[in-house]
Amino acid sequence: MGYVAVTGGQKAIEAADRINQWYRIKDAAHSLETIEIEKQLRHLTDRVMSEGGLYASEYAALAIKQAEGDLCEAAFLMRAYRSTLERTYESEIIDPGQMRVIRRISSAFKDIPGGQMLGPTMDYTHRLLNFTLENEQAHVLQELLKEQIPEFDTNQTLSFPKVAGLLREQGLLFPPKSSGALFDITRDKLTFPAPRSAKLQILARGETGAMTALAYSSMRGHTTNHPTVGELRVGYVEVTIAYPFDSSESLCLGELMLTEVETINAFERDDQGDVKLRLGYGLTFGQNETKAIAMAILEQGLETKGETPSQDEEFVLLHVDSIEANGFVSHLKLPHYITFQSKLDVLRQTQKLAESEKTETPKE
Amino acid sequence: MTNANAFHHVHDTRKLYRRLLDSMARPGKINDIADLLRGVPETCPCSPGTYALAQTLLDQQVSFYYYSQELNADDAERAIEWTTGSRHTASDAADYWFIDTSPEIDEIDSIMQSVRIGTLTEPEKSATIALHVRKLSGADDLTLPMILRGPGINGWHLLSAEGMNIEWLRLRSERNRDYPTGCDFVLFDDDGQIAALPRTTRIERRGF
Amino acid sequence: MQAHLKQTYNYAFLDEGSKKEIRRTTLKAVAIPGYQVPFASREMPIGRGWGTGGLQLTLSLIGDQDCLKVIDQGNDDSVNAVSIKKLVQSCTEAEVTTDSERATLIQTRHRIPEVPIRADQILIFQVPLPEPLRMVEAKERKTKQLHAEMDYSGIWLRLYEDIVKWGKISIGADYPALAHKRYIFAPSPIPRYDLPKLNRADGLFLFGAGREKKIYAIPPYTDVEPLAFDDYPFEVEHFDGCTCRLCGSNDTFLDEIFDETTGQKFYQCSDTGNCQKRQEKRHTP
Repeated sequence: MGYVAVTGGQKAIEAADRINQWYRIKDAAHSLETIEIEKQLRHLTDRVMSEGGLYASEYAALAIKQAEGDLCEAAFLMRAYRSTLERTYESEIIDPGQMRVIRRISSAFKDIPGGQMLGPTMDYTHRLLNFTLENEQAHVLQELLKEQIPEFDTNQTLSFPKVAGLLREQGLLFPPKSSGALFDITRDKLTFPAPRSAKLQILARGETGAMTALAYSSMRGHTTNHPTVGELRVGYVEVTIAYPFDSSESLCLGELMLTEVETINAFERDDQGDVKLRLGYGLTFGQNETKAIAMAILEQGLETKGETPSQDEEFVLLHVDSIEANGFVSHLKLPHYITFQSKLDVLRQTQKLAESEKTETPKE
Repeated sequence: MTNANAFHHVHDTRKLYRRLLDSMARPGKINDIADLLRGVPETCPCSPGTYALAQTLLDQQVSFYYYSQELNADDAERAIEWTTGSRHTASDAADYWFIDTSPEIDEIDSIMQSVRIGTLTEPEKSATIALHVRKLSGADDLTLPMILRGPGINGWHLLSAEGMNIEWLRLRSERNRDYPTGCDFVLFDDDGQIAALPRTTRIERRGF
Repeated sequence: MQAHLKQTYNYAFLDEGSKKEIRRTTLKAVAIPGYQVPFASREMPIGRGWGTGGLQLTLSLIGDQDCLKVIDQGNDDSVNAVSIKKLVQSCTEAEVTTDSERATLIQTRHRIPEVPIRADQILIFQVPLPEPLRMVEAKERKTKQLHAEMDYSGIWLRLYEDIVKWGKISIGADYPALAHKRYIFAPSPIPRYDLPKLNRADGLFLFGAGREKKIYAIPPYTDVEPLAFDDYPFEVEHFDGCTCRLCGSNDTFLDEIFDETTGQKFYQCSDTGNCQKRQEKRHTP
């Protein structure tokens, strides 16, 4: 048979499920522990939490295992799970200035109060395949590293003042634009022009690759947008809610790891005639540095007027979501023979018209 | 301990919604929700109809305005807020209105003036009014008979109501003049019957 | 491997807040026929673009007393239809059927069943692209304005240009129509053959676009007029003289199929549930 809908659909799906399980496990010596994914594939877990919009590293690890490492699929599993959860509380505002920092850099200033702190990064590690990882003894390495890394007191909170704060004190920065009333993109459909809080939420859970590509286009060719990273910090912050029985008190729910980026953009003159610098803002779950920088670039791009793709809010905001883009592109795998049949019918009718026109036209 | 007959926030709201949807899709069609109202707690300070409709339609995402002369309106507001998470708000900001006792004519006027009707770009940003009447009937046997026409109705449909001031109809047609803006009505009576009058429905008074 | 949704997930998958929002939106959609009402649209356990809008509507409606039919291209056994049915069954006790006359809810992609929808049934469409004006205007902000002002000159011009270029309107499926003489709407990619079934029908039609986050409706007995010109009237697909090779019908929408070995072209009913019933009737004396 040609292009006919699969019959015995039920059987086919069940068989496909089984075959898929077989391919997942057929060559496995032991089943992958989700804790190994969670603890040893940190960036993958972080990215899935960030694009899935759900901060739950254990579930992210489970999603990665289930999706056999397909990142978009894993983020999608997280989103679909999130759909089933009630939204019972709104957290209080988090101040990343209070972050328990594990890494923090500024490309704007050589010396910043508190100093540069490289922390965990692969930025300066040569991209050479490390063959020793093939036969790594985790406990040996753990012992070795314990000796080499200076012990720091984990009780001591490493928090630093924000670089942007310094610039603001000196009157060099415009204050951040007000987000107005908080818009929740999971509860309300976005309308345009989009409120600032909605833009930031969409970018915060946008697809890393899509956002990097758009930010790259903005930096490379389409605008002269080459911002400076005022500060990039990675660390832990506390999430609190107002205590349900006494809203003057806070209740701490736990910690999140975040990457926060503030970029310094071109200076401009505002309505009052003041000339100051504009700040771009990026914030993601986990350690997702490139995405956070891309977010700051895109966010700033959307605050400026112009004809480039990255300044068009419908273009940026409607196309950076991994789940939506993947879903629609891949839906082409579904049968479309009704629409195709309808198109064929129009084509044949049009061909008939064209033929009759040909015969009507007298030949020279 | 939970009462097995208590109004079920999953299944009873769904059943009520299906009947409400049927009434909204077929303006004037009466649906019976009396079986669902039996689960409404007796201590509830508003009418069972208001309680059940509020549980079905309201949550943290929307606001409501409650009107009543006879019952203790404050208690009812509080009860609806607590059980649904919705916020009681100024009348001109409310997404849903619950009018539990029939207001005087000038009050009907002020209610209808403050009801949101949406805009041409966003006609859905309009209020829905749940109006408590004494009785509804599909025959020409109550004080306010109405002939309905419009989408959802094959030709015309008869609906009559008791305990509904004709002023509602006059002001409704005034506010709903510029379709697609307008407000939608849900009527419910003492016997647990509901009917709806969406903004598309044209109403003629019988005998006009 | 089937996940145990019953233990881990809510009744009908969605949390009650999500259902309420979909229900409020649907009631508004019914009150403004053909107008696309925005809604938040949750991520579902099936792909965005694979029927999530229809599925959310179905889950907001369905109860254990319901009987559900799901079709894709008219076919009950198409894998995506089966997958959707399976999901609904895993989180409700609702019955499923292939018989459109037994169903209380029918979720569909790209077809309307041959047997007309009754007053006690609801037909739920999966909609990929809900905005009929998108073919002439890319920006949502602008199309919203065009609908508000009922400025439909762009799409009419597009149809006119079609006639100039091709001698007829070249739109195949998803043919735009006017609802209640006010809103132009996209009927989802149903064939033109199905479009007249929306006009002044007995049943209620709900449309859900999950990725584009819109819900709209055509209530019963509502005027639905396909866009056309007096001298270029609306035409449905032609199946002149063709019959279904399984049930012999000559008055249904047919799929064109090629035999793999002979390359011969033949026709078969697109509505498989209806075709099955007709075959059974033919074989019972």
